[in-house]
Amino acid sequence: MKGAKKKDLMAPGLNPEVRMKRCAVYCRVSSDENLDQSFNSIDAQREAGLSFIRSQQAEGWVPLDGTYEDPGFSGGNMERPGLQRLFRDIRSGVVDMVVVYKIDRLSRSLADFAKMVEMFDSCNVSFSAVTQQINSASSMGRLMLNVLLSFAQFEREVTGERIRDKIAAAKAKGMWMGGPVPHGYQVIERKLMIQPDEAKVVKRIFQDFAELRSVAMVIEALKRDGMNARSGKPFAHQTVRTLLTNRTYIGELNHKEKSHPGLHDPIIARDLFDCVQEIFDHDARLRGSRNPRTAFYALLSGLLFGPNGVKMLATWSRGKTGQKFRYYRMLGYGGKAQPTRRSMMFAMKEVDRLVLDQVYGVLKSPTMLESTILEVEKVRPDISELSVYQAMQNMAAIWNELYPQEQRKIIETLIERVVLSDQELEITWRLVDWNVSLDQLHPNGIPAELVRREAGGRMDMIKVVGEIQTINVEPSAEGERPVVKTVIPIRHRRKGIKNVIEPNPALAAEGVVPQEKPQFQMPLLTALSRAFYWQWLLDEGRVESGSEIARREGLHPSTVNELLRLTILAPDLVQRILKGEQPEGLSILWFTRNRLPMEWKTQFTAILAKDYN
Amino acid sequence: MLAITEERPENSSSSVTEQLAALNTMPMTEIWKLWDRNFPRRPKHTNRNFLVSRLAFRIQEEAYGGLPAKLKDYLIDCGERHSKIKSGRGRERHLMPGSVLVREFEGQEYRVLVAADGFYEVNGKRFKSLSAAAKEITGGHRSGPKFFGLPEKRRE
Repeated sequence: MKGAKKKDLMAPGLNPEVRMKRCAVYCRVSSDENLDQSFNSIDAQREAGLSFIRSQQAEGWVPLDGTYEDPGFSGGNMERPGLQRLFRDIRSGVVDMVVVYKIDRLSRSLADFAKMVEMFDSCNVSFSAVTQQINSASSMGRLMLNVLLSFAQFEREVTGERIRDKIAAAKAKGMWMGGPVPHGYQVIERKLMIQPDEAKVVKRIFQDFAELRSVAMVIEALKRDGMNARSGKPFAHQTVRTLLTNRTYIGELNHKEKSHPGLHDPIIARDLFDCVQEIFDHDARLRGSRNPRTAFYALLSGLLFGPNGVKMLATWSRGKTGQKFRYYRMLGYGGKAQPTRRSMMFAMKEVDRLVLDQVYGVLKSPTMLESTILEVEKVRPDISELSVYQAMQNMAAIWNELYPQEQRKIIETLIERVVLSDQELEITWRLVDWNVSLDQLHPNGIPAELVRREAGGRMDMIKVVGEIQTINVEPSAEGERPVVKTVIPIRHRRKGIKNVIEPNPALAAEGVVPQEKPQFQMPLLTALSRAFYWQWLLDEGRVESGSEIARREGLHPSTVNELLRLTILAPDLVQRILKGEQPEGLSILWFTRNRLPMEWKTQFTAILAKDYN
Repeated sequence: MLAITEERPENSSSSVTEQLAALNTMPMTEIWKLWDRNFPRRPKHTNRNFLVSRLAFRIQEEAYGGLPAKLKDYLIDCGERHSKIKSGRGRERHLMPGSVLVREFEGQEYRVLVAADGFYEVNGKRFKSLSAAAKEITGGHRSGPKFFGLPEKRRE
């Protein structure tokens, strides 16, 4: 840093070779209130700076014409227009020296100041303070600088805390301390006063919500009556939502998490306010899950039945990676390993698509088209007949844009019931309601080939086989009305492992016929294999003891011991069980109820010669 | 393979019977000696009944022959599948004998039976692997477990 400027060189003209130094005076006061204090005012700072420069004339100091002033700016950051202008001039090389009244005028932040010093250095600019004899060229001077700045920063932080405390105290007393003014109020002489017109709207919002329980519906009502927010635009959802929970309206003041009784008048009665909060609390879970785009729903639930009239329910399971597989499951067929379980589950996507294909067909039918066009004309005359027609031709695309509830509504309007079996899908339409003639529906039925292609990929579980037929069913009994049905012949492909136990010996036992087919006893086999595995673990020293096995398997030690005893079963008997040739009726129960003899021969007589029936 | 038949010579059978009878009255020191000769390690907790029954099994095993090693391994592997204690021994997939795999292929339903020795029976033929069984059904090579939709083996 060049140009040490101190009062020690008093003799003017002593050194004729002094270089000219262009000095810029920077002034700042932090807030408007300080502006009119005489001592600290901008003017005083500037005067002091200029006279300081004059006193250093001998050093070649010359004041610059431009002013760098920041009235009412904080020293806590560098976002000050005057300072930024000063920086620009420094960088462009018009300034050699910065003069300030006090160091803290430049900055109150140590980090900012370090940055400034760095920049001054790189531009060969030095600085000087009128009231503080600090020479940033010496190490002592720099230490002093840092100490001063530390205090400056400290002072700033303490001031901040003080102000926060003050605000908190004032708010605790119920005084309005600024900030966004809630709708329904205005600030007069730093006090919250009710703005009668807005207050009416606020009251209405609260009352409407207590009745409608829905923010969206409240907004809808406001829009209808042309009530807008302050911005002149309709109320936003979030605005109304926060408004409804703002305690200012019951005469309280919010401060952080707390609220204090305020000095202003309430707009809303506490009863009403509490009632609104209760709605939010009570409906919280409902509200969260009520997103109509994501809510789980099944298109056909309640409409879908099995071949024997059993209701089919929507259900789902999780795949390996957590993906959801949705099914329609026949009521009462949820249990394990039932021989009838096969074909009782249908992939929801497949069934829905088959039905939807037919629904699209109905929606495209001339009668439907005609009535839709008429209806649209009434509601939205600006939409042309042609675009309605085009849209209806591409139902699949529109369908996906609909909300689930809307889809559901359409399905319920069109379809009375759907009966699903392994061989066919039968849709019963509610056609009478809208009087569509049958031949309009599917002039000749949709060719099966076409549907199969639309229904898509290789992995389809349900395939359309054969021609889709729409038939008119005449009433079979008195009082019934004729219905229209669409029948889709399908085939349901299945894949998967099933531990099917062959129909158990009940029949064979009755007929006293010796079993011809092997009768595998799965529980016994499982028990046997586990016992052998455990014994192997013990033999190998993989586990310490039977009690360790019990602990790790989550079983009772006595269960483990009981099962382990199976390992002393004669090898021949083990093989018979493995082949399913054990005496009929022999089950794991026998082993838990009887103590297995040690001698194989005795085991034979005990087990083989026994009548388990 | 039958380990015990009625034709077994009377003397060997009786000697086994004698040995077994002797176990019941044998003092613990003798039992331990016999145990150490037959088994690699002693159990953590001593239970005379347990020791005797294991020894009795071993004596008969030596006299009449035990379960074929392959079948025993197969059982143990099956056991691991049903156990929460995983030792990672069986690399292969083991299905319980008697399991039936159902698969529809080209309009026909096929049922594959898992036999006692771990072989797969389909159309009255026996196959060593599921893939071979799948080949029998489809005519071409493909992964058996995939074809029959078995859950993938979990890595421990």
